[in-house]
Amino acid sequence: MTRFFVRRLILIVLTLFVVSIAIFAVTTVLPGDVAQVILGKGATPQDVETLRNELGLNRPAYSQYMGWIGGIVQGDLGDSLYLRRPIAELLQSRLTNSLVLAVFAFFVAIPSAVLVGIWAGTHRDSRTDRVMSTMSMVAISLPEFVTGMLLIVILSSTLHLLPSSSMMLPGTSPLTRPQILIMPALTLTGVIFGYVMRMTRANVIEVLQCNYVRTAILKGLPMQRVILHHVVPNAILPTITIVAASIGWLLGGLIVVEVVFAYPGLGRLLLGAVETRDVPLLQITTLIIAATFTFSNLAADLLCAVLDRRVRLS
Amino acid sequence: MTRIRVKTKLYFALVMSLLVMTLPILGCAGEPVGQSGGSLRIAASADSVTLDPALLITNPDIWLTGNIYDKLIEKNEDMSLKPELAVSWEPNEDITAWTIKLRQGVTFHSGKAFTAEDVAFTFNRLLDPDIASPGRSSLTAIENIVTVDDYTVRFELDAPNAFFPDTSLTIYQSRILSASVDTSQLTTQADGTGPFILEDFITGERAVLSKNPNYWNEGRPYLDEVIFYYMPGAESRIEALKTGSVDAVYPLGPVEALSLEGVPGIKISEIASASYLVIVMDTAQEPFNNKKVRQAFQAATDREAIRTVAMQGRGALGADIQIAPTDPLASPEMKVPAYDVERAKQLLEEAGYADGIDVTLHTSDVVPGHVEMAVAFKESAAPAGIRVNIMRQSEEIYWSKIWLNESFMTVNWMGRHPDGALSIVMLSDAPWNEANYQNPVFDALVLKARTQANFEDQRQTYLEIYKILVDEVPRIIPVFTPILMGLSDDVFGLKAHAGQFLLLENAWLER
Repeated sequence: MTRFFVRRLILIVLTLFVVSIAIFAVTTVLPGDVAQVILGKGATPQDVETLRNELGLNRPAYSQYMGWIGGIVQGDLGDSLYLRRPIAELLQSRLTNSLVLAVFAFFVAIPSAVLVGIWAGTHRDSRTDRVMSTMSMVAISLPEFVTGMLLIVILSSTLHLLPSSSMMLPGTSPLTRPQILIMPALTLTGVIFGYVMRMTRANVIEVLQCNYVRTAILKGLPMQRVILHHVVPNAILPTITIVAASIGWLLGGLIVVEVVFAYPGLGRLLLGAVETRDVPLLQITTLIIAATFTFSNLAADLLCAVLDRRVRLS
Repeated sequence: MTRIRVKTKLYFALVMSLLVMTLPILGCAGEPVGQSGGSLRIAASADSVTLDPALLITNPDIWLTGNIYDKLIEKNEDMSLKPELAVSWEPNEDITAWTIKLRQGVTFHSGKAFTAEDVAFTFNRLLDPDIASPGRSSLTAIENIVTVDDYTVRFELDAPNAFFPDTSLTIYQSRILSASVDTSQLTTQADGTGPFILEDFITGERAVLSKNPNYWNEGRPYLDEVIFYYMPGAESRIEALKTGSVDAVYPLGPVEALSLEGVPGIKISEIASASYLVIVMDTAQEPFNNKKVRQAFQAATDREAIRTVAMQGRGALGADIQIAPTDPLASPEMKVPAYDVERAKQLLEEAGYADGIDVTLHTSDVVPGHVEMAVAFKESAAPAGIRVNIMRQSEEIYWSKIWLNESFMTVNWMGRHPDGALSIVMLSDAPWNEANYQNPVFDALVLKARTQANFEDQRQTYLEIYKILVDEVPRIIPVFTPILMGLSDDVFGLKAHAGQFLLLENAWLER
């Protein structure tokens, strides 16, 4: 078990390293650079050149990369080139805000999706199952910015139940003013709920067709007991992997949702970094997302290993 | 005292008398007088980047600092001059030096007294090439800054310039810093003499300003607090205004304005500006090195259609010169060229394109209106035998790779004083001579206007310039774009600004 864990950890570090090189490579190919963005249309070529030198953009790409990764290893995240501030300072509140939103959305979406999935799987082809399946297809198909605007128009503009934007009033935080989290979280939920619910349903249906379940039913166990003790434990294992993968969806959704609801989080920071060609900031935010993704996969694998002896033995 | 000064005073008197005349009318309409207190919330599209006046980038950067600092001279909403830290400005005999009298008894938020030393410090910093301020190009005419006494500064110029106060002392980078400020802190902190004090500044989240109780303009500002929220999504800003989460959305695109029209509780403030959309032709490249081709394109431009499509019918039509019809320097003789397909056909034939002509127009969605203008131009030019292929470029590379490199493209410029607007893009040695326009007669006229102390003389010179430009057509300026602001109807004294500034000093709330 320890060896398994250590090996996975090394793989994660390698993955992140490759991701960082990939991001760096992509950003060097992108047209335009941060100096151009800062100075805008009204800049003379000399001004742009001066600023490029000042920002270190004229150094060769590998030297820029080494300087950057060297800093990371020593715990220095570097400065944002566009915002001219330490990245660590920028991340502080943004990371917390996004985390609060993501965790909130996660705990709304996942338990409900799993429960509905199990119910739909065990009541296959019932009317409720069909309604739930159709709704989940709609939720998957609608992009976040559409769901978000729909929610704003219905819950805020028409019914006046919630504030239309999740901006931070002075002296408040998402925890002291949780109503600003509801619509962004619902929008994020829409995406992963449908996905997790459908996969859970499919897993339940598959397990229900297994021989041991048939045996359990035939030997006269009450249906409730069959589902709780035989179906759910076996169907939940692949579901855990799906849930981990859905965290990736969640993080991607953050970018859109934070823009639609004017929520100051990591997603908007990332989007801004792309728009302004702010490579160091883009690197760090992308790495944070990549790390979250790989670690949630690791967590899922470990959980599966704990729950299922077969994984541990292989 | 020169005529320029007299002109400003006359203008002031005119505005005042107009105000006095309209006051009773306003009173009948129930417009109350200013009330103190309250908190105003503004939704801004871009994030603030820096508060260093020399290096401002985004609109919110300009708006925040504009209300924390003062300039020597500010521009009112209609671009007329408003004395701020300068109380008067007068040139010497040959207009090569300007003497500025400064306001006395003004203090910075930190308590330091404002003197001529602060003015010299601010402008010397802007002129320092190491600071690389984008405002430097507007100030290079300054040869020397002399602090005559504590409250008098003299700017000595390398050539006569009657427009110096208007084109150089009002630039948004020229906010007056305290000479004892720690310049390394200017990105996030601010010590100004302005109506508001910086309270809280979190990039991408919000910025909070509070009332400066010791502001030199007594009784101002009215508001206790102003909060800027950064909201990148246009739809979110509109919904926030509709639901009362914010009190103002600025600036407002023409399509967004359409969605706010007629919404109860919302009003739209609109002001004509000298900002313009332009179709640029490179006069050094085929086929645009042929004047007849350029004239044919001018005649084939349906400006009314472009205004309808690109600006939703708002704004004034352009006459191929950067002087808006509302500018005091404009003349009624500056006529808008007519849309005349037959004339365009004939000109093309004379130019040797009897079978029509194929051109590629480069455009990009950098600012609302570009692509729409390109499409409207294509349609209006087609009957004349001009076949336009529209090449839509990515926004990220438009200014760095396409602009100044292609021979036929759409561009937009913010409004400026006619002298600045003509100088930066049309003089033979202009830094952004996008049409590669070289005309010594034109150059001489632009420089001549600067030496003219008399306003009427200046106007005549600009009329001569118009006659050259409308005949030579290096650029087609079909439409001037208005500046729009969406407001909750209980906000008063806050208006859209022709230079896209935001003046909060006179704003107040009726709550």
